[in-house]
Amino acid sequence: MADLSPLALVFLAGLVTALATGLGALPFLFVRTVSPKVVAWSNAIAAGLMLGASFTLVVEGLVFGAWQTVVGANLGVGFILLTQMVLPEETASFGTLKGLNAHKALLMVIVMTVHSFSEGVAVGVSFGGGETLAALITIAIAIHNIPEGLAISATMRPRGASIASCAWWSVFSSLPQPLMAVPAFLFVDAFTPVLPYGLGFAAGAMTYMVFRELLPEAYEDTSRPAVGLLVSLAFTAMIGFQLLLG
Amino acid sequence: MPDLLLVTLVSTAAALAGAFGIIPVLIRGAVSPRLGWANALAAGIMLGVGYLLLRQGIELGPTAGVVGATLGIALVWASHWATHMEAVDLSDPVMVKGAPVRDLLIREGIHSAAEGVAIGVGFVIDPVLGLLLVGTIGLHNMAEGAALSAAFMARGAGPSSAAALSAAAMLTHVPAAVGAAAFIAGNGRSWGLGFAAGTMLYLVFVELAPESYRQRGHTGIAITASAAMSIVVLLGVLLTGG
Repeated sequence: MADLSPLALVFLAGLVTALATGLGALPFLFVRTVSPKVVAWSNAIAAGLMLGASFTLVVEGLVFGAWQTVVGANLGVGFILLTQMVLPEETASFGTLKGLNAHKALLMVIVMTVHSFSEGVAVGVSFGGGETLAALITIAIAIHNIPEGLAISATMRPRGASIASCAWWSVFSSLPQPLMAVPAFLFVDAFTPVLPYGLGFAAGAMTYMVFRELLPEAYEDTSRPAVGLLVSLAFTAMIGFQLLLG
Repeated sequence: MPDLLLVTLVSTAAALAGAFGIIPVLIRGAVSPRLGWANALAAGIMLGVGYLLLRQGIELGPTAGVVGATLGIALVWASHWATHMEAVDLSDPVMVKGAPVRDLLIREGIHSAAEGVAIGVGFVIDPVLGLLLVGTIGLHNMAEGAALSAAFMARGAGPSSAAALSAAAMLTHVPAAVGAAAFIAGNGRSWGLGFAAGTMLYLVFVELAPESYRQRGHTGIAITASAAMSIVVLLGVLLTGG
């Protein structure tokens, strides 16, 4: 790594973390039948993982500024409300998906992509702190991205998307990480004040998405104890996982 | 040692708040779906507090925190399963009218015990957090009390006995709160924190969230729950210094 310029290193690190997101699609190689119940279970697992991830974003944001994080979170909720209104439900198409399925999958990819922008900035800013930690931070973020890819795949796969398409859109959702990490690393002073807004925005958008889209749909197609178990266990696993990495 | 007398008093007060649920029933003659807001608020706040407890538990002892949470989730799930309470939904007027009084009391007793654990643990972590929980759970108890009182009155109970019976079922708050506070103050802090978080998380996703969706539209519930949750996390992190 000594031969690489710090800039290329930051970009490569971001790219590795983005590619790791695609691994989240792999468990779906083993799930063959996709009944409405499987969709509901997947929604519940995605809900738990996303809620866990957004709590961590809020806590990270607080380090850089509490009120900015709150303002960002409200903007995030507003952004998804607006996106829902603008995206047509019946005529939507996304890859091979059509109609309501496409609407939901597209919304999910938008939310997760937006969240990667802020994470990318967070990576760049933290790399600014010192290069020795670079490899460690990269590995941590790469592993942390896998359950996020799982959340995306859990929304897309049961609605009929192929494994390759789940993996691609998972990676796509994380591409802003390398793209944002580089400018954030170069201009730490300029990006640091914006960071809490971005982290709050991502957390707000993800939480609202969970409560508005994923949970109600999960309750419709499976029993409440099943939803309760899956969401709570996925949430606990995500928090444990992130704290152990971080 | 935490102030167990204080925990006893506040958890009793939260249970007694359930008796006031009779007031909207007497005025309107029915349970208002507006009560869904109280449930959504409680869902958001309890989720936020659950996160804070889980985080602290895992930071103190990673394995104990995660295993404790899993045990908490499993215990509430198992107690619902063993008593066949998983199907009792207080937000469903038809279901509540048909359910035997005994079932309603058992359901409320289990539910309130899990909430009691949260109150007790909350007070040990930070009195402000404890008071926030008591306030939220008290408000949510009024909503539950309204549904319960209406059901008891439909079976011929007078208003005062319906109100008293509703509050009595919620008194499981007290032993659970005191027990949890005493346990947390001992050696099992990371276990207790995880356990309390697990019971709260499961309760939110098995009862509070689905019941509030039924009572109010999805969008309003989503906004209320997200907002309440963020406020709590914000407060908690600022209070406990991360």
